[in-house]
Amino acid sequence: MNEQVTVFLQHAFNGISMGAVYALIAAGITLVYGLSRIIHFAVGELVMLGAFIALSVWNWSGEFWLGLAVAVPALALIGLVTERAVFRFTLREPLTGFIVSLGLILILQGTAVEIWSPNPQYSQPPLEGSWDVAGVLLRKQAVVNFAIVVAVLALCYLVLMKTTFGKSLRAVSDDPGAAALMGIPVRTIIMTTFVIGSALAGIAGWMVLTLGLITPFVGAIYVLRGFAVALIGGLGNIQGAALAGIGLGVAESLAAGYVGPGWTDAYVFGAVVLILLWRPTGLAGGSEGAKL
Amino acid sequence: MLEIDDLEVRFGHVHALRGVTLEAARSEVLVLIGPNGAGKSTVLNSVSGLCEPSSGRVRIEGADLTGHSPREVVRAGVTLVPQGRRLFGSMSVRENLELGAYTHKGERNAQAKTVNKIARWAEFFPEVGQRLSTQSSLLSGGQQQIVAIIRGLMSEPRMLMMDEPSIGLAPIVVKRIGEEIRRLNRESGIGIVMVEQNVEFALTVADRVAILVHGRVVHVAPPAALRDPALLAHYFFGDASAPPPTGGKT
Amino acid sequence: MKTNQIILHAAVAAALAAGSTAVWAQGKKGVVKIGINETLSGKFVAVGTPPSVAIRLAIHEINDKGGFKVGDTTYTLQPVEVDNRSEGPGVVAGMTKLIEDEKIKIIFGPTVSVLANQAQEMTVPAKVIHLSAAGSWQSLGYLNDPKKPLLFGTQNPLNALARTEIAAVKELGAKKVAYFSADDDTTKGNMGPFLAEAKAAGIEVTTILFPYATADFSSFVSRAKAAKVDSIHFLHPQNSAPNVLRAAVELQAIPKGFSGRQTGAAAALKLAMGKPVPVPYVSAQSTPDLDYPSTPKVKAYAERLRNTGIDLGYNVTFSFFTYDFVHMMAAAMTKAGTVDDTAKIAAVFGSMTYDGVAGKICFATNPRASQYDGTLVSVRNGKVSAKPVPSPCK
Repeated sequence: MNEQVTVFLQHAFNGISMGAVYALIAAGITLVYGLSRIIHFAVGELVMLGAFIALSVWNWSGEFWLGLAVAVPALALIGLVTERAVFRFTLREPLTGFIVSLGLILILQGTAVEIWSPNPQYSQPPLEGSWDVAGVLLRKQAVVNFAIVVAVLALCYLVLMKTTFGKSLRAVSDDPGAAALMGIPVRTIIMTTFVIGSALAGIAGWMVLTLGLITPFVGAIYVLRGFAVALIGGLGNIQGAALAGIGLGVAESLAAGYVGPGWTDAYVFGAVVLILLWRPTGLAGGSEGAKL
Repeated sequence: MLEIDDLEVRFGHVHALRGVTLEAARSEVLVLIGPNGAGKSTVLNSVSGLCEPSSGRVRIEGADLTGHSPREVVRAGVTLVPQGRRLFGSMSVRENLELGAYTHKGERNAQAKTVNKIARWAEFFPEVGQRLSTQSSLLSGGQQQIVAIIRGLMSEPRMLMMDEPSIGLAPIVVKRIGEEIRRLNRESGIGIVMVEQNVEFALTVADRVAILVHGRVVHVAPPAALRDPALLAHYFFGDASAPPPTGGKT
Repeated sequence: MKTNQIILHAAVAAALAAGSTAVWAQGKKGVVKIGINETLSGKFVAVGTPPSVAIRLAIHEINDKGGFKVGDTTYTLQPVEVDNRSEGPGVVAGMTKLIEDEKIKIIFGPTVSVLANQAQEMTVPAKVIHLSAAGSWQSLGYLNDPKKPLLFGTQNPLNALARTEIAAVKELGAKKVAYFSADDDTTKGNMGPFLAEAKAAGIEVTTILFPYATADFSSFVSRAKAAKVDSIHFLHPQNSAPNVLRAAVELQAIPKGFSGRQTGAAAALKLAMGKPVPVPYVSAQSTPDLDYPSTPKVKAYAERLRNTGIDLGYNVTFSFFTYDFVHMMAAAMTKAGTVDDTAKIAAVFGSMTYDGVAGKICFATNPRASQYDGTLVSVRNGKVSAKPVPSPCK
């Protein structure tokens, strides 16, 4: 294969695997926003907690995959607790929910610093090396992560489109008042999206752990990208989040590979602003405003 | 079937309902009319659990459901078709109807029953039956209203409440909706309580008409007794607290 | 934190007292107080502790040998330590005590730049000899300022670091290197000297700057590979070095290996892949390494430091910012024949060469920053070796 093509494909693949992580986080953001209209900014800290819980379980058990198996239900539980303890009281004023989430960032970071110290912690996931596909090196862990994200998002999509639960969830997103009149337990459904969104953040956290380095402050990297992706994809739109996540990952990677790499963030977020000026509800279409 | 007893509702300083007492039977179509802000929709919302009364009682088949959640009210057999249709616009007609049967989820053969019900109502309203896979926001206003009614019926209510079903519809469509509502009442034995602004439409459809003014029921009568424009003008535009020009029971 | 500090102080005192066999010289005796203004609690406690402990160790060793002679008087040293709690007001209060109450003429610390900047505002007018490793003293030009002749930087100047880094690249046998660092001011300050040294050594450099909080370095490593480099040299942040190393190994981008500044042996032994990496690796360090001593002197020093029983943690090499300079200062006072005339002592101190644990130590003139041995810590096939990069001092 032409060397330039190989290099291009290499950059594209590098971006796909990172973009998959963004997509996962954005899917959680988009679900929570779609139903509660709450901009849950502490989602980065949920990712961070997922990473640390997975690391602790791994260190304790020696099983890397067990970290994933524990982090996901643990984060689901954290999602449940935060919704019951805090966010459910802010559903009528989503702006309050947003401010509460900012406070939650500090609480969760502080808790993580207390438990795990502020120092960076390293992980060396068991899947090492890469597969050589026509000169393009696919890092094994990245391939596995990508496959997991595809499977998880496909499952989310199927549940949303095909099951009664998924339909009732979409109904609440469309019109919570009308959904209530159908006998749909709106509050329970909203609570469930916090649980699912947090569980997705748990998976993402485990993936962040596979990248090698985590600190209690790692969430900030992901929350901005997660929201950018959710906005580009259209808030409330899972397919949009998936595509926009991959898109952002690839855009970042190509910027890092070809343009002045130090300005990756600037290029990417510049593009986000342009896209949102052009299509305020995102490329794939999504919710415009609060209805609850 | 439905008994509303001395119902009071306040929204902050606004006293929306001031002791509303009404009864509705399954055999009839009861229509609430009255000027804007009289509290007609608030009556339906209080019954359906969307807003909580400050005092008074709501009974369905004798059971006290005052202040219960919409879900419990639906399960007790009373469903509200909200104002403005409020279909789930991003979803297909079929999905909207499936969600109408939400409270039957978990029952034996629930899915098969839902499929049957959709098929039955699709037959009853053929123009909707042909569009089950269409995204609901793409239907015409009249079709959307029919879908909203069927969606309400999917929960198998004994009583269907409707908030201004004629709003925003062409006169010919309104006439059709009126016919369907009466047919529903006669053929399926479902009681109807309806709020209407369109008095002409209300008088055509109703078995009994209740007039609400300033949060009070001021007059209940069969439609024939309300054909007098002077009487209506008195309630809609005049001093409702003064006695009406001709006799009517309250 | 306070309790920890008390325990720490007690531990230093006990450890140092235990081996004390002072033989006091005959004749006149005197005491010179050495001030220490450090971050012994608060958020920079990990930075301030190693330099402080090393000063006490050096003072103890000098006194243990009977002190030092100035004229016909034998002096011993007495540490006077203040904890600035990692805060500006603490620095000021501490300096007031050291300068005005204790009348001290020689003060170390703080090591943290922002606090050291504040501290020198008080020591300069008081004509106190003031030593700190603060990088900002170099970057803000204090060490070039003729109005601040008594400030001494105890960290290698940037060009000395760059020389050690290039030695690391050469150690790998690389001819074309990708220079990896975060896109920020630290990098901007360090890149110039590195590029100059690389040019002098005939090494071609591709600079690859990444956003500070980069998590996945695959794209940047792929860029380096596309540029056909034969090694990567990593500057900062050091925390990210293992991630870059792992990506570089998995993407087969570094035929000659990987080097980094202060990235440490652990990155290659464990942090990157959980086991030794399969490529040659060199960490270029501005000081000797205490885990992998490069000379017998360093080995003995590491043991003495260990014998204090105090865990100095990750920043243990910060002890080199003070240890040798206490000994050097005593020698300078002997040579200058005074313990009070700070201008005279400084003139001697700034122009002498001292043979310390960190090799031959002397001060460059502009900036007045110390030069001592750098160290290359190499990891090959899981085996670690260290060798000094000698300072230019004669």
